Amino acid sequence: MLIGTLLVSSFVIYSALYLAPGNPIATLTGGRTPSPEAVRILEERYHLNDPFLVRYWDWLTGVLHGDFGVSIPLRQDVSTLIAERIGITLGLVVYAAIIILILGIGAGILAALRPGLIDSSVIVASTISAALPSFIAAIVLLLVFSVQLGWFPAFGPGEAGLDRIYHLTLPAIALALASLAIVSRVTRACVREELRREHVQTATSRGIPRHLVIRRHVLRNAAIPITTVAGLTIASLIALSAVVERAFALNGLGAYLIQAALSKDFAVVQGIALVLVVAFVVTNTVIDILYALLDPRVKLGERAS
Amino acid sequence: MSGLVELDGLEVDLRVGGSMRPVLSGTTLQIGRGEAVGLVGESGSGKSMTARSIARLLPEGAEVRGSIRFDGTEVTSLRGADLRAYRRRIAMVFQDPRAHVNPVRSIGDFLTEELRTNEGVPRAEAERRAIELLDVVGIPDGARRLRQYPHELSGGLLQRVMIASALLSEPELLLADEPTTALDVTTQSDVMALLDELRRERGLAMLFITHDLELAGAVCDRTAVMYAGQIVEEQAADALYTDPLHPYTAALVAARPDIDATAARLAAIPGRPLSAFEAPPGCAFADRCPFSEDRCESERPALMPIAAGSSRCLRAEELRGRLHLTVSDV
Amino acid sequence: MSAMPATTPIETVDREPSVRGLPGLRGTGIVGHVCAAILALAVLIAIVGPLLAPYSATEISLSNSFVGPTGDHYLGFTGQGADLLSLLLLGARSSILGPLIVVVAAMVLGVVVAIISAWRGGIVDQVLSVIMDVLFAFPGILLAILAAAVFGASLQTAAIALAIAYAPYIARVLRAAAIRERSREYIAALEVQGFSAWLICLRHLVPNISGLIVAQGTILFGYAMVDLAAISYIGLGVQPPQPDWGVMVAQGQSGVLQGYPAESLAAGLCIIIVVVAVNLLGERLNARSQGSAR
Repeated sequence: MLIGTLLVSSFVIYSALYLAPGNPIATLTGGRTPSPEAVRILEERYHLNDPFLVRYWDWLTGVLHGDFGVSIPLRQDVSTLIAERIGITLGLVVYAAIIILILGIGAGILAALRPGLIDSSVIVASTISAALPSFIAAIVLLLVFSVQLGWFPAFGPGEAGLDRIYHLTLPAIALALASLAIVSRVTRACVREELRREHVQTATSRGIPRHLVIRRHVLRNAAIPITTVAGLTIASLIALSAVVERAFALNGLGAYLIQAALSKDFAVVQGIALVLVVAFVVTNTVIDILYALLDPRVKLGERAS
Repeated sequence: MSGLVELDGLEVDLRVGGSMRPVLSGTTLQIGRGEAVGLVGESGSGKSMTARSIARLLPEGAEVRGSIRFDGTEVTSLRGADLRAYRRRIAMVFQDPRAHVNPVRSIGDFLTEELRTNEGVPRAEAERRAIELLDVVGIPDGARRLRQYPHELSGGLLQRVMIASALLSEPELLLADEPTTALDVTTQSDVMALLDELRRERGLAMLFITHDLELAGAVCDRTAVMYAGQIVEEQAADALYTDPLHPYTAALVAARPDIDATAARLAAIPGRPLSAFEAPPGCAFADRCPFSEDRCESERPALMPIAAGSSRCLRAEELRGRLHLTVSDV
Repeated sequence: MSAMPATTPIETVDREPSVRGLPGLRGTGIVGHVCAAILALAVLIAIVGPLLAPYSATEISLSNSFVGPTGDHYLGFTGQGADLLSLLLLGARSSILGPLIVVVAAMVLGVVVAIISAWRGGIVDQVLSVIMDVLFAFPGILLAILAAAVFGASLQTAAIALAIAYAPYIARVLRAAAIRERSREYIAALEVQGFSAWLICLRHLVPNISGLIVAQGTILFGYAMVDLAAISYIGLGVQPPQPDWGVMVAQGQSGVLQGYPAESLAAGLCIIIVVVAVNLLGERLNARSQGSAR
């Protein structure tokens, strides 16, 4: 199933861009009319005359060996271009995921267990952040924390290490905010629901201390739906990171994908799109596996729906 | 008889929407050591709430007045560690085992959780005792069962597991809330027989909640009948049929299907059962009672001792002996 | 965004005092009516905005760059020296009608796939499911970027890409509802009477799940609006100088860094107000349609 989806996706990505209007020779020669001899050499070098399926097969086997082809406008290996940028995107998404998991689930649990002031403030905060699209959140964060307070840099990924984390903080928050709201609201609802379950009463009736009842029965059981929702939300960040990278001028995969789409650099678009789709599909598969591991009623391979 | 459990004038209000609604209005009941007391009545009469009050499992926001004493200790004011220590001395078997056993934890976890958590019994020892008890409740191959999950067991097996788990902590009181209602008819009697036998062997006191008068009569020493949040009659279980002390009990007896009866149809009790919050100022049963008089509408009867039991009927003395015969003709 | 709460059943809408109101909004409470009013106003501005705008989008003068509100220019000027209020009014058209087109297209696709799947079942259902599964692998924004690379960046391209990306989510929810409806006895009765499948679907099945369709469409509108604005923001949707709220957020960003955030914030606020209104209304419509299904 996973392999099938990935194969078909790769085919869709490759063929869509293959069928796109436009002539790579024109791109290569920068608009000048090349001699027939030059055209022949170029066609040979970039295998432009091979049949479609052969070219797809070459591309696919290349990708499996880590070779994503050559960017015609840049005359550079796409693999190198991707490798240079993947770290920033990965860092951004992981950073945002950590924020979502810790703050979102934490706030949701707290709100469910402590009705009253804490609960109400979590609801208000999540209602506000749920309404903030990432790129608008980015603008607001830039305005407040970079321009007015000067606490965080406005642009760029910084140097690797702590400086990178510092530079990625605002982008990660912008990316996480809306998902944070979804996850905390779902967590709150699930924990509430589980607290009311009969089996929780059974545990209480046996004199099990409350914190153990909460941990072993309430949170353990609520973890099943929470994992699914949090996982799906985090998976959706992979594509959304492109927007945030653009907002904060981070040269990650997403920002580069956008740039390549604008300049019609198809080899780069194909390569990065495939990487993002694979990441998205694999993340979703991991969520399915986690779901089956957490819930003994579900057998691996059955669809969690 | 020394009372293990003594309920005295127990009143419970639950929060429904924004207002408080009484579900128990003055329940008084004793359970002696090793004694089985049946609690019968229609749905909504307050049977389950009585058991939940004893186990301190009332919903949040419930208000409790009156007293519940267990072995001389007031239960209603227990908190924290004392409450948990008290809960270890009682055990509860619920109506629907499927809902009352955590579906994502193994049977072994379910059975040994209390021993391991509260008494610090090592896992291996706790599992050994669990396997032993599974055998006692008629589940062989316990070692394998411990690794299984609730959804892999039938309802009847799961209820046996629930009974085993209740006995595992060696409680002094068993609260059985309609333990067989959710089961197949064929497994019902097996589970009931098992529960009865184990209870007698171990000298456990039991509060047995059911709407089945006959079943209560078969396994209990005494039976109490509840109506609208109050106990209306209480006496030796087998005397209930032959010598009911309250018109409601008599009506229940008459409404019970009887294979031997030649009556063409079952005697249904006219009207619908009241809940405690709907109870009128007088006798709660008055408007359905064939014997009600004017004073029944205005005067609230108290639970008065009569013969070997007690009854909450103003006319109990004068009606005695006539109830059983007359009701079925009404 | 592809994790769509539209498909997760866990949602908590507190019950509100029921008010008598418009028939289509019955049971959505005061909040529902207020949201619907905001949306109606937004759509009205989207339609007649160009008539209301006091200045045109191209009437720019760099000498007015970042000038604050003046007598004739209530909200002041953008960094490029255009009248901010006029730009907002003009931008409403693509910002609101764009997502509307996405929603209509996605709903039509989703409903057709759902009904065919539910009606035919078997191999047809399986083939459609596989196609939907592959589409699930492409988040909306990624599909829009790919489409922009192939067909060139424009509002139309982005809208079509989003509609295709959303259709599977709609199809999945509606397929389940359609299968439930399909198994009802009245459908069988109609079939026995010899009515054609299309007629039964159009006259009976679709109307009977219309509550859910409207609710899902409303929720989807919020997602479409955010995603479409984001695509315009990254430069792959509406192309300047055509006014659009997403484009305005992007163009105002240089102003934000110079301490003149008015353009970005004003456009962002417009997006947020419409999205919040549509989300609140969608949640209530969804709760209502699920309530009536039980």
